[in-house]
Amino acid sequence: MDYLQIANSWPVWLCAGACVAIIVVQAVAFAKLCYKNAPLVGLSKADCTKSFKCGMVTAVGPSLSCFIGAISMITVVGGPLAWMRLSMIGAAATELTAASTGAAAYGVEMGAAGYDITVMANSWLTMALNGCGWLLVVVLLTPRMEGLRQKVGGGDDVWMGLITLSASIGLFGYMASQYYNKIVVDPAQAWSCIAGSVVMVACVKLSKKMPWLKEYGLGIAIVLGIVVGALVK
Amino acid sequence: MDQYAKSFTKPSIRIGTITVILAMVGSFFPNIYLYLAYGVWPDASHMFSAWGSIAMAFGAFYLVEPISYFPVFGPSGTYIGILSGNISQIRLPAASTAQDVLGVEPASHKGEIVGILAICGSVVTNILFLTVAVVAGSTLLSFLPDSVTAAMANYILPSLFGACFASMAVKKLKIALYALPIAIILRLLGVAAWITIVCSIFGTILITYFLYKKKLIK
Repeated sequence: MDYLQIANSWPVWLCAGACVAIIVVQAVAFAKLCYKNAPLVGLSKADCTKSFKCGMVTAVGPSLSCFIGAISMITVVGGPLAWMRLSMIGAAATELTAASTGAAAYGVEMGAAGYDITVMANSWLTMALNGCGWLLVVVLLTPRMEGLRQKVGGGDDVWMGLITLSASIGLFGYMASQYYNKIVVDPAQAWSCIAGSVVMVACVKLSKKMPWLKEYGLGIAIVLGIVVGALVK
Repeated sequence: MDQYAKSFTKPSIRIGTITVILAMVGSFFPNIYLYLAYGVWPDASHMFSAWGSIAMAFGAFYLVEPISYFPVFGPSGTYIGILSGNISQIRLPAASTAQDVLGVEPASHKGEIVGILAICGSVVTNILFLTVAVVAGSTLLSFLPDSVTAAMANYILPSLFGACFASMAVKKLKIALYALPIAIILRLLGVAAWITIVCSIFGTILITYFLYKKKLIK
């Protein structure tokens, strides 16, 4: 029997669906908890709904890039596995690395001759074990880290704010630098990144007069960044 | 313990722990099915050899990512951010956009609640897109010209990260002046990715700390 036929059979869809459901349940549970605690911190129900919707809208642009990743993954591991793996932790690149590592242990390449159901089982298992690495660390460390953060912050609100802001700037500096650094090797990507930055700064400045821009600035920056990248190419 | 810790932080740790453990168990469902239906389970030597090599490749990130994202996200955000993934790509932009729109401080209690709600919203969008992608993705893509899909594949992430960096940087330009060079230089030197990410985040926090103590930044 063809391995992809098994990988795309309905019981596997069912297993994958259970995992996706867990992630949805988690999001719902957290959202409910937030609604419940909103009055305590001085937020109204309308503020909560606005935040939730804003998250939905902002996620559209970035989700498009996952869309393409998902399709590249379906052809190799089948629909259900792509669905469940990508709704969790990793990006397509991480998952595909894990899947091919599982195959490599049998001395076989993904999808090549000799990639049978046993090898596929090892691909799946390797993706699962790899993902559990992150999840285990989160389960074990997160409750302890909050105490640490309070200690480092020392009840100083300004400093706590600066920690978060420094971490965010550092993180996105790290992410953006991979493209800024490509100015010689792949100028199109570098310019697309620079365009994204410039457009965003403009949106932030303009949003002081036009508040609606705050919500769509990121989307506008992404679209113009793609256009600039394609033009430079 | 204050009221917020009791009625928000504690329950969120409980929800987070339970759902993440469930997800760990769920990860193995497809393999369990293969075993029950076809009697197929990889033998131990192949399983451990694959597990060993993948842990060598990503093991450092298991630890580094949750720890690095924690200062940005707080506890509840870490559970949901790591479980649903795509943190820098989807979760953080969603949270910070909502915080800007609502005009709340990211590190405050208000900011945390607004951020988490935005992340929950982004999970919904993301899963909808993924579900459409796995069910009808290839058909949909065939309607778009190759040049468009290629442009999306190549330039969404660069423009997204460029924009996110800029939107954070304008909040405190001084911090960006040392945060970005750290990342650029470490990358040019070819330092391992997990060391670079730790230095970019915690190095930046450390420098900010000194400047804050010297009252050069506030």
